[in-house]
Amino acid sequence: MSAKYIPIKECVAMALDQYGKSIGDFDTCWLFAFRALENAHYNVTAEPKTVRLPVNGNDTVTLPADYTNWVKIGVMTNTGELSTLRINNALTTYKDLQPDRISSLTADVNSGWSGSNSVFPFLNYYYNGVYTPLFGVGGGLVQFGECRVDDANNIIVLPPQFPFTEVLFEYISCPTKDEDYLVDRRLREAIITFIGWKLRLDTDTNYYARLTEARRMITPVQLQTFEQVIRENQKFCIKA
Amino acid sequence: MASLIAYTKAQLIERIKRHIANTFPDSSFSVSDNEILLYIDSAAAYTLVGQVYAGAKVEGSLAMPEGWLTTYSLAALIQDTVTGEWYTTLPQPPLSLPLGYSITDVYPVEASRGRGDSFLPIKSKRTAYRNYMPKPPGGSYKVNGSKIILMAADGSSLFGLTFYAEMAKSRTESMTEALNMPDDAIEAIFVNVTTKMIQRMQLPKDIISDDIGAGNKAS
Repeated sequence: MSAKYIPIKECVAMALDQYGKSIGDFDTCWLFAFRALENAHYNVTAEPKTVRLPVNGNDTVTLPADYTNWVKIGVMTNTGELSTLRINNALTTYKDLQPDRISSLTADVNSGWSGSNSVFPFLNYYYNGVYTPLFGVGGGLVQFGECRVDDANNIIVLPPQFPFTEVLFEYISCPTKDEDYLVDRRLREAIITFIGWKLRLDTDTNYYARLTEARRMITPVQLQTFEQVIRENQKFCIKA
Repeated sequence: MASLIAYTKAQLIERIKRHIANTFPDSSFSVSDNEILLYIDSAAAYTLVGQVYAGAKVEGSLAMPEGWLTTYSLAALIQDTVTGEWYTTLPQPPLSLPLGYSITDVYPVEASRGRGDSFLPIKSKRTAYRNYMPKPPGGSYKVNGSKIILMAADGSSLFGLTFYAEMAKSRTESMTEALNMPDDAIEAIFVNVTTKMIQRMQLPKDIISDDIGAGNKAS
């Protein structure tokens, strides 16, 4: 385990020491720390997990058991990058847990345009077999498919005839227990302050200040990143 | 290093008797040793709790003076056949201080591995709903009188484990057992007991000191 992680028991012990409490308050303060951990986890410290999930026979994808919120859904490209799917909330969740979902999706009306058209729907001008960029018209994004997340049923719904057998899924997971819950060391002061706040020995203002401080430590400004942004944004253009 | 003279309840009783009788007490002394012991035990507990709160005025938070603490090896655990809970008996019911002060530490020990992680006390008002919340790894305990009920967080068996308990002690196993208390507490106990006993016996202590016969003055 990386040295940057510490058990929350350590934060609790430090809080008890700071606020002059006894072992009799440990369990209560441990629960406060647990709540602080969840709060900070979803706000500041969550590190998305990436998994490759198989597509079920009924064109759905079952989400991992520890899933709480998704970050990206896509497919793998040949350059090792994740290309995202388009979120289409018009996709129905009808019978999405049933194996006969696909056969149950019988169309009532025909769509004006369907993905099965031979011509890929670029928004630019197409004439005589050639695409010509038109100024002022949105370019659209290269999409390899569509999806919708059905949180209630813990699955991703895909349209019929989804062409891939697996999807890449980046998500925020529940905090997991590894002996004790582990937390980023840089979050310690925030957790201690959260305990103090809930014991009415400290303030919420101080907690959020420590949390902001922790976030700045966890995601520091790196010169290399700035240089990269500057370089990538240098381009030939007409000067106004 | 020279060993210090141990102070016992027998000595304290003798001191109190001599103080009240103003000499070696004879058969006419109407208070038994056991009665004085009852006064001493209650005065000890009262003094202990008072010292904790007095300390809080100095420190700003409660703390048990270390002089009162004793670590006991608890009797082998027994499993309740109905509830499945593991329990044993404390040497005395904990004092009326919150858990963490009355009992300061409870931990398993094993000859081959030394001491284990401390078990966490669960205060009685929290026990009924505690199972609805996540639990830290390790174990916890709750107390009913002198019965201590121990639980592992994952529900595993505690069979064969020996537990030590560090707790504040106001009682002794015998009259001759050395008192485990700070010396400053002895004076507080002495004053507390003699005040009550002189009042109960209606002994005109000041008159005795003036070498005038005991009892109410006739003139």
